[in-house]
Amino acid sequence: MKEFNFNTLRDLPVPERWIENALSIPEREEAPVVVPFWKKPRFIATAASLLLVTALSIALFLSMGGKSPVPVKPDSKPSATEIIWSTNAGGETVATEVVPADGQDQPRPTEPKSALQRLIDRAFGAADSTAPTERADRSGRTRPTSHTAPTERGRANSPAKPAPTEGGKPAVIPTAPRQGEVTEPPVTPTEPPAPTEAIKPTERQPYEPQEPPTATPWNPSYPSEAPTEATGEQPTGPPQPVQPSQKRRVLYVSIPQEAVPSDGVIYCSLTVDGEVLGDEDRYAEARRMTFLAYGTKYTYYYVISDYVTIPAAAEGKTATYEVYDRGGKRLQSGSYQLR
Amino acid sequence: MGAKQGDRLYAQLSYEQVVRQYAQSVSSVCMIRLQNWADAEDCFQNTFIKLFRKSPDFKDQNHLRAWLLRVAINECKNYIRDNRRHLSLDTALELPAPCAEDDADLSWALMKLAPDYRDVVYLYYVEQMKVREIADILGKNQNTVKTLLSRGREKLRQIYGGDGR
Repeated sequence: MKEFNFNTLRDLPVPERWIENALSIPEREEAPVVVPFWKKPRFIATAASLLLVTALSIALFLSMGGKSPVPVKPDSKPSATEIIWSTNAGGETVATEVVPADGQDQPRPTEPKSALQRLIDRAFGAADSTAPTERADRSGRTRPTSHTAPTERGRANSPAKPAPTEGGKPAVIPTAPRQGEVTEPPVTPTEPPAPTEAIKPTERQPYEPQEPPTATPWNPSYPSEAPTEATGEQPTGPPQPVQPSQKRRVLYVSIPQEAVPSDGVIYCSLTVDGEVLGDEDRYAEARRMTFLAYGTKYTYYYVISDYVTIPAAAEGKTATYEVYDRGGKRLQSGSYQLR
Repeated sequence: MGAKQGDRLYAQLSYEQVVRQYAQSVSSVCMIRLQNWADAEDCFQNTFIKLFRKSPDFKDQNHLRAWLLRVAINECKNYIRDNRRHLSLDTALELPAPCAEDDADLSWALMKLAPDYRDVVYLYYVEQMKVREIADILGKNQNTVKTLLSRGREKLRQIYGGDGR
């Protein structure tokens, strides 16, 4: 039997040529050349890529010019309306939606829009008629009367019944907290009403009445027997003394959109028995409320009764009004039965 | 020899001393692994080229020898992998073997082993390395090396016919 003798394998002769070649390696091998990092292909490729990206970015930026790469819509709303939040004198935040009409942005209340529109539709039926939609009193206006409670609005056309809620009586004007029927002492032109209604346009026209008008018993002929006395019928608050000689009336003039002057300012004169009530200048720039009436047509309601004092002698008489623009062009005329 | 050669020391040995001292081990490993003189010479040269280029620090000469053998085995593996050339045993036997007949028989029997067994048997019996060192060189577990060594010894006995010593 053979025996393994691995020592024989250990003594395998190595060709001398192998050793000579191995010893000549240091002569053939050159010292490793230290290549500067800026000469390395990886660095060159990285720098070239950065330069290319930068150049492309600059070229793209310059090609765009002043244009934005993403088109920005001017307004997301189809009617290009704008909602302005402001704070009235009562410290309440009021939202006013400015709707461009005839190239102008006009304020209009927005919050209960649908409900308001529904009420107006109920009250007025067809579109164009004078609507008793006096809004809540504004801050800063010196008014001769105190104000009916906001809940009184519901009883404007139905004084014998309790105040309905929204959607109640057809003539309910939700934005007129001092509407109609409250008989108030004329000598208390102090406090502005505490508007609790949400719809309170805060933008005011530049005109301010020179002197605070006293309570004027205006009774708009449309839509129905709007303002009636509400003394003692207020569901909330103490009853106020009734001054039979003076009544506050709310008079509205509704003007279609196409007839509204471009500046939005109208003048109105009221005449009773051929006598012009008050100063015509005071009718300038009546307040304006904008409502969407029947589809896309806008009707502007001007509250002109804020600027006139109707004497007690005018009770039961017919008052005529004329509405004209700043240039004197008559826009509308009509009459009211004062009672 | 160039001036650079004398500047470098590998475990207190110069490059020439390293080549002359470990040429036998490296060449044997390469020859047993590749079974071809030409291929074994390539791996032999590549092993010492790596030594010269990298010039690692060695703790002692055992470390140097283990490093050389490990590099030589890896070079052989890479060479086989790259060339995909499988030499037949007959081809290896046709090569001139500058050794005695018994040695050639033992080399023949050793080359008939599988590569894993062959490396372990050679390193253990020819290079007389410890199991731990073989495990370090081959990158295997010590138990694995022991198993390979046991099975390789049995296979070599079956092939060569004799008793291992």
